[in-house]
Amino acid sequence: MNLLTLSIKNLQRRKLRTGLSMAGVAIATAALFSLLSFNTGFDRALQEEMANSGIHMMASTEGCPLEAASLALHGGEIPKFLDARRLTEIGDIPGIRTAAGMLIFSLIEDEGKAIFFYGVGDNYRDLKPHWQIRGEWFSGPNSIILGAEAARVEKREVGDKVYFPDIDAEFTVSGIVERTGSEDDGFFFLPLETAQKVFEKQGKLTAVGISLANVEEFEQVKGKIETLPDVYVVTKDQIMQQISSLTGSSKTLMAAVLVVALVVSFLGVINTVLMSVFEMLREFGYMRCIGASPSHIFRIVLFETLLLCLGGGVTGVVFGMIFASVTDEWLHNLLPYAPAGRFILFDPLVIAASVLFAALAGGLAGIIPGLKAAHASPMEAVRNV
Amino acid sequence: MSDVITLNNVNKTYRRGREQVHALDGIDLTIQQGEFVAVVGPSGSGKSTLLNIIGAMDQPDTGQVTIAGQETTTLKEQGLTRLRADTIGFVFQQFFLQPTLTARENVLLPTLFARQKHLASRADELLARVGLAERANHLPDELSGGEMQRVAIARALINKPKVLLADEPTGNLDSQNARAIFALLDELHDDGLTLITVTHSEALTSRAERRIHLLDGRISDD
Repeated sequence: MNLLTLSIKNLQRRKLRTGLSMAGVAIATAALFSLLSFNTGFDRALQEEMANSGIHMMASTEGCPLEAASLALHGGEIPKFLDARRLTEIGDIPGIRTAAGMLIFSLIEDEGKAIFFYGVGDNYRDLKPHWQIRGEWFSGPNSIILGAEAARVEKREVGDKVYFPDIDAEFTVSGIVERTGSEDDGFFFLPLETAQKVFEKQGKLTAVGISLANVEEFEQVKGKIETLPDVYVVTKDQIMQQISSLTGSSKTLMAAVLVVALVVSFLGVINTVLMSVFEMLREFGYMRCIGASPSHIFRIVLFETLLLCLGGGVTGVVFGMIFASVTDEWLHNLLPYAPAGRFILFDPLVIAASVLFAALAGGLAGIIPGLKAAHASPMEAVRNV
Repeated sequence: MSDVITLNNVNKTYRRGREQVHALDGIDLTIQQGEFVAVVGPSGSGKSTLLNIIGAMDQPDTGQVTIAGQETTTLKEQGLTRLRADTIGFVFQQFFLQPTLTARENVLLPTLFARQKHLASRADELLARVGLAERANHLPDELSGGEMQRVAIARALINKPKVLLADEPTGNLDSQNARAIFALLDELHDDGLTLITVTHSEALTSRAERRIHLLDGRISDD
């Protein structure tokens, strides 16, 4: 038996109250774990998506080039278009390995869900070297390549036909891109000329994706592209920054909710332990009679609070991990621009930080009740009532 | 026999509103090792204050108190705590057993605070001595009042105190259980332990070899 045993037995004495307080800490810690995981997971997913895109910079027309670039990456219709002649001019600039034109359109299906069409040229493949295509690249003007998720939703296989009544067009599935974990999984890819014809945008492009032969020539190439009329360049870093700033307010809101949850939970723990201390004041006073020092009593209460918060912290992280996929889906729906891939991954550092935070909060929450208990009067304890 | 407790001109005053209450008024008292002393007197006569001061739970306003060679008035909180842990055993009317600890764990409780190794075998010996060897693993709510008080006595003895202070030790017990406690206290006295009890029980007072009668904070009869 030691002081820790006493603390554990004290907690067991009021199982319901202990359980409820622990649940409060668990909820707060699960929220903390999810937010920390999200913060690191979001940036990682964004970087992975950018890396997978194979694009060093994007060229689009005037307006809001950053938004245009973000939409080009994540799906979205942009009402301004670039003259398709710019594609050849950009491709002729020395230092550019690939310049791939894209025309992006969306259709809203009956259920209100948007489907995105990407009109792309043959050199678009150079920007996606990691793509594994089941079937083949475009076999003709009426062929279509589906992302893995799009194929699953449409229940189509290579060779199947797919009809879109809104544009009154039928295509034959020439290939299906194996799952990439990026937004590409949900897209419908058409030959560029076909897309321009179907969507009546001949000679127009939404953007040009550019990869460089040598990234050290980044600034020179960018400068040369920007000399072309009506062409604006956004870099990969700018796109990432733009997306991060767009999600910034959501992150701030979530952080604010988290702070409230943490404060409520923290006060809840202090309240629980303080109530327990008030109930046990005579017992602590008697312990002082039989030789317990204020430090002994303080440690008993502190251990109690630490156990409460550690128990809640570990439970919260476990639940956070169990419900990670649900949280992930919720965040993907909530955020304006969510990169594909999972946000909440089991990062040992985040797990350790969440549990450590709970323990630290427990340590702080134990101070006031601990001091109260440590000053229990032995005389008051033994007074006959 | 040597003196184990000495009080020289001890005074203690409390404030009750505007009124000053002289709980102890010039008390001079010497108790020798091995004595069995009963402190008696009406309510408000200063019995509990005297017990608190002898038990190093309270300090006098003036005067000197020496317990087992240590002058308590010069000790700070840490010293008083140590004195209580090492020298004095306490038994109270309310037992003060920890409800979540077994009888054995309750007996061992003071060793947690007294820089001693856990004396599991001594706890078992003491429980056997108070007739509760079979009840060592029972929780307090599984014990009768008499059994709980016997556990409390075993707990008071675990650190081998020089003095056992008992405040109304049979106050919550029926006559049969009270007799068992009297017999136990007699046994401890026979073993040479100094016993000081504050009581209203005539039966317990009659067993003490010395009776100190307090009235209005003064010793009226010794």
